[in-house]
Amino acid sequence: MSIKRLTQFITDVYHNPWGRLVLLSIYYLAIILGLVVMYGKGNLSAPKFVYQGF
Amino acid sequence: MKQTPHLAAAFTAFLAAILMAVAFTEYAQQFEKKYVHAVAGVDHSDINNGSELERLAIKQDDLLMIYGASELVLLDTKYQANKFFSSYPTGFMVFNVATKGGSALTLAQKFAGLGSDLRGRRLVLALGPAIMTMAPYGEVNTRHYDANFSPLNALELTFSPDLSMQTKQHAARRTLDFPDPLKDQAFIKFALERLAGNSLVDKILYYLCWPLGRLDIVILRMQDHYATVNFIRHLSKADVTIKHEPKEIDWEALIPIAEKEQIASTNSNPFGIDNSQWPKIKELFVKPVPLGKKDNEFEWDVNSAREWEDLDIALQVIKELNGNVIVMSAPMNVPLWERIGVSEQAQNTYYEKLHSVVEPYGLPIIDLHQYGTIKYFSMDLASHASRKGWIYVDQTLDAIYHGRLP
Repeated sequence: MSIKRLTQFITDVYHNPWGRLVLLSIYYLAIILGLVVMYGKGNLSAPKFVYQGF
Repeated sequence: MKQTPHLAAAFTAFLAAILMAVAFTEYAQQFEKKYVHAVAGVDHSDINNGSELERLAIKQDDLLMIYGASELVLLDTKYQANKFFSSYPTGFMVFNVATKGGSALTLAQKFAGLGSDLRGRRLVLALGPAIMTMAPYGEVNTRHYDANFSPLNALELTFSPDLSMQTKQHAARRTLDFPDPLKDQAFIKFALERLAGNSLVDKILYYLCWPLGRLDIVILRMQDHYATVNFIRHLSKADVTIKHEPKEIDWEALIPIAEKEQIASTNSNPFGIDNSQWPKIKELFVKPVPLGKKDNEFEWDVNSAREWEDLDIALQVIKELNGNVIVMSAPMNVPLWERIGVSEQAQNTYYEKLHSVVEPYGLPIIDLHQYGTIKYFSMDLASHASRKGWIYVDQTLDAIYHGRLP
């Protein structure tokens, strides 16, 4: 599929109400997943420290 | 939908994200269940600030959970319980949750993190006299506390539906005594301050924080799952291979073998102190101190130690969560303390205080008092178990698991 046909396909889908819903949902889901990947990992390991003992 | 295409799409995407999160959690739980025994056999300090694996491990009949501090992890030896029992010789293995520099306040937060999963479950709370007898004001070292601080466990304690308000307030006030780990945790700090406060406004704001606090816990638990799955995925094939090799353990025969190895590790000094610890405390032994000279100082230190207050919080958390906990303490290193001027009678203050704090909660105590005079049981003043000491500790854990103790 060429770029031109792909663009046409997406434009056609976007002009259909259900198609637009699907495309926008994918768009928003990608944003959410992107945020999760960037900021969602967290860190549950204890920072390295020198045990001072007693 | 025509008028609000973005709203409908955002809602759909949000719903899909929630479904993905639920699916991931389910997958992670199944994955962790498959490898929980493998993790028991390896150093899992990288995920020690989480609680998902502990929640799972505590439900396994062939794993004995041990919570504690450096007494259980400082000496890297094959006699250490999580190595000694790794092939399930008598039908069980330990799941060691001890950390270097761990303290009773950290443990209180950890127990709160287990929540209702602690109900009726058996575990060993391993204590040592080090903080009460040696730390300034008997208080946990700030750096040690900071390094073991877990935002997840602190939140679980702050927003626990299973703990009384009084216990949460007590814990919150002590947690706020250590401000450093809260510097980057504005929400937890705010919630703790409201919880610790006595005014009506504090109470209202605390309850207003509740939904956000629980949501934060859900997110942190998912991060815990991610970290745990990631940790397991990086284990080698040998790490995840569990061997079951039942055999009779001849405890009496093991003691002289371990003692011989320990003696070889103490050749830098005549006091039986492990070579790894000797440089840290050798100045205390430059000249002998008359026996009894330091008794008053020692007794005051032990009786006024703040760690007892934190232990009281941890025990209160256990009681309110109905945990089936056995308290096991490392013994005082009697000959060594005598050498620096503290008589055995004065050293017994530690055991007296320990029993006076624990007994009101009705929990069984195994204080290993009888091993205090055995040379080479502990490898230093702080009662860290030596190679020989580990044999006695392993024997005790075996007896606990099989119901012969307490």
